[in-house]
Amino acid sequence: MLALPVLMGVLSLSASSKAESYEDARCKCVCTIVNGTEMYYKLYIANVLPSNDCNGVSLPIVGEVNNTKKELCPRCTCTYESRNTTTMKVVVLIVLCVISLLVMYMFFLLCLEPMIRRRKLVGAYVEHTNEEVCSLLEPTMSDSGSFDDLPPAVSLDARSGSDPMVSVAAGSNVLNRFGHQQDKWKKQVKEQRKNIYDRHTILN
Amino acid sequence: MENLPLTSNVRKDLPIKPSTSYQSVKQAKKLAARNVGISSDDDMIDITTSGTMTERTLNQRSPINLPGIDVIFAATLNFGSGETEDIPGIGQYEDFHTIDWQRDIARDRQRHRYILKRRQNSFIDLIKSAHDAWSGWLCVLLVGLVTGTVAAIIDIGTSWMSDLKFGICPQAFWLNMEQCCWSSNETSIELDKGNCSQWLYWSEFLTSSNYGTFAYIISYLFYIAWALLFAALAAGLVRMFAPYACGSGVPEIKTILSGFIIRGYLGKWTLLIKSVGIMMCVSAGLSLGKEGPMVHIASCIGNILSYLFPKYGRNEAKKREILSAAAAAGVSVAFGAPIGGVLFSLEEVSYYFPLKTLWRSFFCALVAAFVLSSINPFGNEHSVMFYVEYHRPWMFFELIPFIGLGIIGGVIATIFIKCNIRWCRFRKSSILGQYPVLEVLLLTAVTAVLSYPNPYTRMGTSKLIYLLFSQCDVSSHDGLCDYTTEKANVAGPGVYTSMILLSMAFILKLVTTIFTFGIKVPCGLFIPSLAMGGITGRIVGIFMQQLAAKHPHLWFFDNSCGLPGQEDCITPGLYAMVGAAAVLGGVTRMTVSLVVIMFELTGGVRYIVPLMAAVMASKWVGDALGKEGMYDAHIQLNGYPFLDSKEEIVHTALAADVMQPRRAESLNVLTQSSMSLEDIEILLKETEHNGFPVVISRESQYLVGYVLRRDLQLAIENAKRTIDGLLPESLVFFTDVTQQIMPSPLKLKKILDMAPITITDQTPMETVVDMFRKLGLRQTLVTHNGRLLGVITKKDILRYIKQVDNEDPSSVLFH
Repeated sequence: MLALPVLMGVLSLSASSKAESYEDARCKCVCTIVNGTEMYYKLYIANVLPSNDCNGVSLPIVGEVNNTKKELCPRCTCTYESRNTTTMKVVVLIVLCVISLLVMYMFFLLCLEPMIRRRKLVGAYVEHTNEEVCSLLEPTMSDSGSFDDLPPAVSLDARSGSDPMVSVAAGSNVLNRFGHQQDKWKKQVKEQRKNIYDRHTILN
Repeated sequence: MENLPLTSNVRKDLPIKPSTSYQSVKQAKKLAARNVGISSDDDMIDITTSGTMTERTLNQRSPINLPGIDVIFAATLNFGSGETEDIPGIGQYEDFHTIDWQRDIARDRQRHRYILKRRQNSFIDLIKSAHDAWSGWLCVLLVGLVTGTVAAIIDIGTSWMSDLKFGICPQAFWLNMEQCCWSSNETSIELDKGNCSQWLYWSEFLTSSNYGTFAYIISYLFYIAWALLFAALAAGLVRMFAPYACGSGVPEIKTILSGFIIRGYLGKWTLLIKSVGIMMCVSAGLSLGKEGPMVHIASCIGNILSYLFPKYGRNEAKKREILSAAAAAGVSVAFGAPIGGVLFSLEEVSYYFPLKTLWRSFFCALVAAFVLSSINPFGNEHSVMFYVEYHRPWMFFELIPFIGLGIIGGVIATIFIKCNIRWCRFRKSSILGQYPVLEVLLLTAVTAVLSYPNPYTRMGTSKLIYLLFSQCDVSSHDGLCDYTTEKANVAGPGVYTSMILLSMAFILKLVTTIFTFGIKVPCGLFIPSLAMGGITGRIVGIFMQQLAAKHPHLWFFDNSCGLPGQEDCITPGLYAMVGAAAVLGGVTRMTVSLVVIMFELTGGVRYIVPLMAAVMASKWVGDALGKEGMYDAHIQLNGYPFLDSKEEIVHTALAADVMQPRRAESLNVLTQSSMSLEDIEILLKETEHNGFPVVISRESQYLVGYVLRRDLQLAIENAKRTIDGLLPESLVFFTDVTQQIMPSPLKLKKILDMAPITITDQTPMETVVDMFRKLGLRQTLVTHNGRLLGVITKKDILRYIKQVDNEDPSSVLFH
């Protein structure tokens, strides 16, 4: 998955010089061509004139009559259409960035973090055998409390984030606070996961 | 005591403490009064206190004049809080609980009065009151702006990623297939055949040719691989970061708007993951749409932005006004139909929809639609991919096939709903539910393998709908428009091939959608329903057209169709549109909003009558064959506490039959001034009720008010932290305390709801259910001769309704 943005980057570099051919406006012309008794329609796309409209666009109308190329007399109606390629570029780049960030974070949470945690725990404690059995995805409550040195959230209102006790304890260190927020968030997600995937109480 | 046949006193083991002189005087008085009959004195006392409460609390609050708008808001929100201002979380609710609309609206009214009162004080207060007055409009403006932007991002991202399955625009990778070939003169030639030289198919990437068996296999494999990658990412992200982002979200939004709390359901992560996930799911080619989730996304935006305005963010009932407007904006951007969005919010999702909310929804939907169309995500100056413009007239006799389409639509919708609900129930109760990611991957693989061979399922569903809706003209080179040259309405062989392919596409869509709706990724059902209906309609339309072309003299056509000069009297695209509306109407049971959405999609007012006829027919057929629409069926399946205002109850039960406690059980009450802190804590520990009535004394059971469990817990916790000398034997007062008592008492009058809604035990249940629906109650207290008998909660009402419907009442899980 990570190869995708890289590929895109390479492509965008190679493309940057030629991208000017993608105009932001065009004239879409529908021409009625009368060829003898036959009448048919043809669609043409033309570049917009410098005056920024489609009045007086010249179209290379060529038809084949009896195997000889010959200019026909068409009736054409042209409509002016516009788009914004810059918006599309920006949006697609944003989407790619968001997706790759999310994927990286997902892999971090899935693979790296349990490893880091385990190493930390190994350094800090000798006995932790039962904690290692815990889910690799989610550090448990006691897990996070033990090395963050935080009191476990006792308040009813722990999820609202406004508990003064907890914020005072964590306020000393920005990193700690971030870690605490992350743990709280993870607990919420774990709860959601339990509701949906295990208990099947909502969103079936 | 003979007047209390149903309830005996609670917990006789609890000693009633005649501790203070104040208390005993009052009790003695009460006992004396009861002997005479119904006490008038006590009632008088209570009435006077409650009548002056507002005034007093307003005065008490005035000393707070700290600078900063947040401080003022915070102070005013804890209404009636002389000394208990710092109790955090009062007025909030627990997860999976029902809100009390009356209480929240009363809180807001009080806050509003307070602001009005302070307006004369200073210029700053005047500005604050002005800000308060326009904050609702400002909030919906912001919601509209953000919703429009997010919708544009999703639209662009989805169309780009969908085309990534086929190839890439090497010179400007951020363009999708259509945009890549946009300024090319080759656009006139069929895009699917790959004649646009700027677009690079994956097969060309590897084999330098786009034709032949090998290239086909390469393309096939790439298609499946990309689909699997997108689906795996979506399912993984949903599982990892925001499980609540799965599903369509409309049943849940409906429940939330009716007054239910699901914490985190409208949060930041849900918004992010749902937006990203829906892009990938649609791109994966699964049979789902992004229109339903757009309602959820908009509601998330509404919820997040409402926290900027504490008036809305901290009052659940007021917040739902913003959420209603946001839901309207969601549909508005999904279909480019602002009025349809407002009507959708009114008809389908909202529960409490006063005129003020209607105007705000209108404004919000308007802003969102404007932002989206000014971003111009599809480069066609419309905000939906399948916008078509129609001006052909329709004939009167065509109403018959339109109504026929409505009937077919109703039947298809019923089959779809029944099968899907059965499958969802199976998923819920079986081992399948334990492998959500695997299920998504399997389904994606099957869908991709089956979709690719058929060009109508290979393309994105929105594109298919566009193709079905549009009429044949110069630029269309599809098989559907393969008409013979001599007569413009006689179908060529291409049309017949397309009809076979379309029938196969219909079966595939129906089957895959049944299995898809409900998997654990973001998925909506508007687009698949529209596609199914569109296919049916187009086939019926072509059939009618051919009938008119071959037999123009049938009485049926009344000599006004099919004759020379009238070749184009039947437009199959219009039939597709009517069929789509019919199926969608049958699935969701929307009527007015759906018709408006459809005519905003086509920009033609003249098709209102055909659409109305078809939608109405489909609704009738649907109602006759199956009881409820898809969203209501999913609400039922999940057992959400949703009181449907559409159903009627014909059953002669009385409030006394439904209330808790039943006979021979005791009612847990608090007394206003004779319980100690310990008693209350024991009561809290031993019971699980979400609220307790407060009575004057256990003997008399005269009602004083109602206190919520959560508020009580918070207040006690807070008091333990802040008040010194609080002992387990301290008395808890829900009245005013004038004397000095030792040990110092705990005064909890602030959290007491002095105006609970009460009914008598003889009230018929129809009335009670109506009160719950219309007033949005959470509970009501049942009295007999003025004395408290029991409580009816929303859960009891839901159980009662289930019982009347002969369903299992234990499926009501939430409070």
